[in-house]
Amino acid sequence: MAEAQVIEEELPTLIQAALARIRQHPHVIRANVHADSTKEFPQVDCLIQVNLPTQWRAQGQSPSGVKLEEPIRLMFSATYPQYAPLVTLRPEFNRNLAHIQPGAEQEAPEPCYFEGDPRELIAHRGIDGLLNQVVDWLHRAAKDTLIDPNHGWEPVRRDRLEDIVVLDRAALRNRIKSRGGYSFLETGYMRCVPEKGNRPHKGFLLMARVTDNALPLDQRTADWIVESPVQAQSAITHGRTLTVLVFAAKASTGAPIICDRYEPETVADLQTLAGRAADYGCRTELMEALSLVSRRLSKRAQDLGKVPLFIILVARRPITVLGSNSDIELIPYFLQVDKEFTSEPSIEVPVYPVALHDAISKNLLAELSGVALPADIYPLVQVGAGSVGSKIATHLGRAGLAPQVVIDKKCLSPHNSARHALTLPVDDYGLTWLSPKADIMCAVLAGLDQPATAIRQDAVGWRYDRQALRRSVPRNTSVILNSTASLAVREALAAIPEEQLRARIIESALYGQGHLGLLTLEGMERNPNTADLTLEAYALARADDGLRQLLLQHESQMSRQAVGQGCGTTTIVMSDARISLFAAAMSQKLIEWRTDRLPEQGKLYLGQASQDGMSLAWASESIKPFKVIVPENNDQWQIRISPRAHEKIQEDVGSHASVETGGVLIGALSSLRRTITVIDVLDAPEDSQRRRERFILGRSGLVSALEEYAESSGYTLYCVGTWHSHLSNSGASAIDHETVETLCDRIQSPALGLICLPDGYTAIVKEG
Amino acid sequence: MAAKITFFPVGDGDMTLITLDSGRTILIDINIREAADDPDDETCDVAGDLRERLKRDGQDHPYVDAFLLSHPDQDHCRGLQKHFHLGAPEEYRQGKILIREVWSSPLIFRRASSSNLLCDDARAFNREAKRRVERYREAGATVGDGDRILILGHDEHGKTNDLTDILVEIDQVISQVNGQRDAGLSARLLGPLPGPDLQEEEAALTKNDSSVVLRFHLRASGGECRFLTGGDARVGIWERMWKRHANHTEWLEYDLLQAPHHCSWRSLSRDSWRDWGERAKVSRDAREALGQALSGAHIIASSKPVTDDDNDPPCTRAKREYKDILDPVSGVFKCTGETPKPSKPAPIEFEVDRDGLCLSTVKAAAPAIIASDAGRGDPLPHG
Repeated sequence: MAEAQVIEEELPTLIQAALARIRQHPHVIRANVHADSTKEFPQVDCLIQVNLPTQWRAQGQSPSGVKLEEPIRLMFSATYPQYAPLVTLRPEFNRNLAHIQPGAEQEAPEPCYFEGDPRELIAHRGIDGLLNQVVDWLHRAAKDTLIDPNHGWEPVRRDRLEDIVVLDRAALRNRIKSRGGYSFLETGYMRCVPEKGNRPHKGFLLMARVTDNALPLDQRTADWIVESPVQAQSAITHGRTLTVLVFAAKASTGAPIICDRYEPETVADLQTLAGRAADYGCRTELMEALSLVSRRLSKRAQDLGKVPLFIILVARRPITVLGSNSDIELIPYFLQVDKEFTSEPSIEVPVYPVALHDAISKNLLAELSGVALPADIYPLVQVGAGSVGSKIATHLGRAGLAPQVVIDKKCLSPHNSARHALTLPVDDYGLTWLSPKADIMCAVLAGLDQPATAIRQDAVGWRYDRQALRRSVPRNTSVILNSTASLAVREALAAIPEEQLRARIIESALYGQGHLGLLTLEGMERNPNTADLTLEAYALARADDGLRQLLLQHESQMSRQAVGQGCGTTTIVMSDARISLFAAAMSQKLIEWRTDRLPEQGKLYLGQASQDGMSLAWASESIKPFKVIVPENNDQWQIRISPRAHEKIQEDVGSHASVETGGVLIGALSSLRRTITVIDVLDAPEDSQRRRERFILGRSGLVSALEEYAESSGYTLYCVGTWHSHLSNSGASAIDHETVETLCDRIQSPALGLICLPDGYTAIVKEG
Repeated sequence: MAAKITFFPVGDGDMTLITLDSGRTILIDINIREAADDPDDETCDVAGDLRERLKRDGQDHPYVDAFLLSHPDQDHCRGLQKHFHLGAPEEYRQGKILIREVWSSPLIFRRASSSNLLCDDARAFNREAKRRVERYREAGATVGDGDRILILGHDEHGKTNDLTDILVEIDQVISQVNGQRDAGLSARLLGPLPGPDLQEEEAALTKNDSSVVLRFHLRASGGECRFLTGGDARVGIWERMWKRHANHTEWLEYDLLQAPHHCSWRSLSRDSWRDWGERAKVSRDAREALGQALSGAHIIASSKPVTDDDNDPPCTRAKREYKDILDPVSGVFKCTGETPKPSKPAPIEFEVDRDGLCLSTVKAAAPAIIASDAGRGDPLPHG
């Protein structure tokens, strides 16, 4: 051995320290600085003791060729420990094992001993951690257990890949039939001829997108294959061709053919490709497919030149393939075909292994997001692609759960860029920033493999325009996400009867300059509805100082911002980050709702940003259905009674069983919906009189109690009428009508007289 | 899955855990010294290491399926009362390890005498074993976890005559653990051998020769391992063992041998190492009995580091003899007190899987500053 160019003492201190640790490792027999070392690139040769099973000790090596004592080399750089040393094995080490880094035949093999960047390993565990991993790797290599069934099947190792196909693995797997065969898939490609010097030995690089669109290989399809001529001054040509997906039939036993032997890539020509296909049980199918290609191409009228034909062999593995959720491995190749192509499995026809990259697909996005896409996922319509809406839609899209329809009436405006998920490429004049929000949102979602329908529309109109509603909301839609932050849209959606709009509404909104977020989900059969839930949120917030401040009493809730000369917008000033804080949390809940069964009851979430501006605290409530009644004197109106109010009334009636009792109703009135919603009940004043034949509401302290309630709710909840009980199931009396009339005059607004009967409720409404 | 055999570093003593492919555990002897329980002492925390390897039952109590006491010497049962629950299972006290089934030699029936002096832990073991025998006599073989016992070998004075269901006779095979048949286990009972030798030996050492000798045959994932262990049995026992089994030597074959009596010369020779030194002669028969090593076999000395002096046990000459046995089969000799290094021994673990027996890989210990070893031992002066 030549003398080392550098002696140990001259190595960087940290490498000397590493060497000392290496020598202390229980599996290191010895470690020395290699002769080729320099101060910049020290190399350390280590002899590692491998614990072979006793039965192989006498032979000195395992059946997989791992010896009792294995030399490894650690190639450091002076930057250690910023970078991990490169670990190599002896040159003749068995390369047919899994988890060896792809590399050229003449280079020393590198074990793939760590899933991740070895720099991270060094940073976390030091050189000991690296050696532990390498020792473990050698031990597994000896026992031929480098493929960890808990981890997944190691895909075929392919040492030199120059060309790339992009495809949706899940979509292609769906094309595989158990009876075996092949499928011709539409494929677009780009051929690039790099400058001399960087050019690979075959002279060009291919990048292709394999679609899951299967084409029949008739003469028309054969004639459709084409590559555009090379443009002057351009090194790139485009073309369209076919990819042959080849898969095995079942074995004679009826079981699928499983290839459980790990082998690195050896395909170089049509003969070795046919051999590989035989390993996977699909040689016959491959040869049949190629023979058909040969026949069709030979009959082409036009000349073809040489075009790539991609081939994907399908191997079924005994366990799930690493990095996927399926036991099917797709192994792509290409070869050059022309009119004279013959399918003879010859060594004269070169075949090139091709790298497989996952196309952006809904399934891939879901997989990477840890989302299990339900087979029967419900369609989602989103109304509002503004600051909150665009962020939620993007989050959902990145999890494979994007809405199917995006509706927004507005166009983007440059000022939107301060708070929006969409960032647009620079075009010549920046005009994209004036495009319809819905269109741009859908373009982004299409880029996430989830094409959505963009509709420029104001959802407020749906109440009166049923056609527009039908066009915008597909029949089977079960959820609409309202992210418009528009009271008018909320009211309009709540106003549409359930018979006309069965989809449950989810509403997301921010309040209090982005310090409070509200997320609601309507209950089954849209009860409680989106408006009921907002009123419930008011009631919830009224009872909590912090929430009340933000939701009900926040000053300057809206401010007018100038966004151009003479024009402005009514909006709230807050940072994009603040919106993201809430949009992310809401999206997380939406992902849960979209992948699990929706809860039956209505849901209400109120989230509050903490003083530090970073954390959120959410309060949540499940809301049972509201009682819905139509007044006996006016069927144009609807009365909705919250579970809270109902319970209070029942309790009061229960404790005054022998006399009539009553109290004051708190809630809100919507003239648009012609609905009075009762959210709460105030006890009758002390001077009230409860008798068998009548209930007389007293006045003592009533005004101040009402004022206090309304004030504390920011005047969102107020007196909407009175209630009293009847001891028998009788309707409103003449006195009742008179009383409600009087009340209506006093409050200068439609008033409700609610009567609690032994069998339920009846009501009268007076509009003045 | 895999079966495992773990040898804990307990100085000159034994402590071995077998984890069967089924997950059932058989613990053979313990020697948990006080220093091992002291977090500020650098002695390996073998009780902690043991607990890490044990399963917990529905009530979250750690347990072993079987505990075998090879013979009632202190270096084989030290720490029993401290770490294990003894007594009726319903009286279990939090934190202790439950013994579902006790495996005991018939020595428990022998009266204490000058030749049978027992330490506290051994006496506690005797009481517990006898309690279980009584439970068996009352309730028969239907007793539950924590009350079961197997007696390995019969008592010469007839005290085991009524124990048919829980008695394993010499040369029989055990294939049940805690009343359950286990496909991963068949263990042949080779000792304690009854008979004349006991009187020939010096009286004080008879306990050693009453050691239970078992040849385990473990199976896991299609692979197998033969493990021979014999407590502190000495040369006379091994000589007789060879005479008994010379016609079917496969009963003595092993992939793994626990060198008897902490690598004592007394198991291989009738001559004292201290008195005779290199002139001491190896007993041919004992060496044969302990020499049936299979290809690649490992011999483990459960002892302090073997030093080149007149110490016995562990004895350097015995180590040499074992290495001679191993050389032709490319085997390996290891000492629990030296592995991975004498300054910091750690449990030696073997795995048995489809490839048979294999020594597990060892990870580098964390640097002292991380492992908090810096705080152990002598106070560190700072100038």
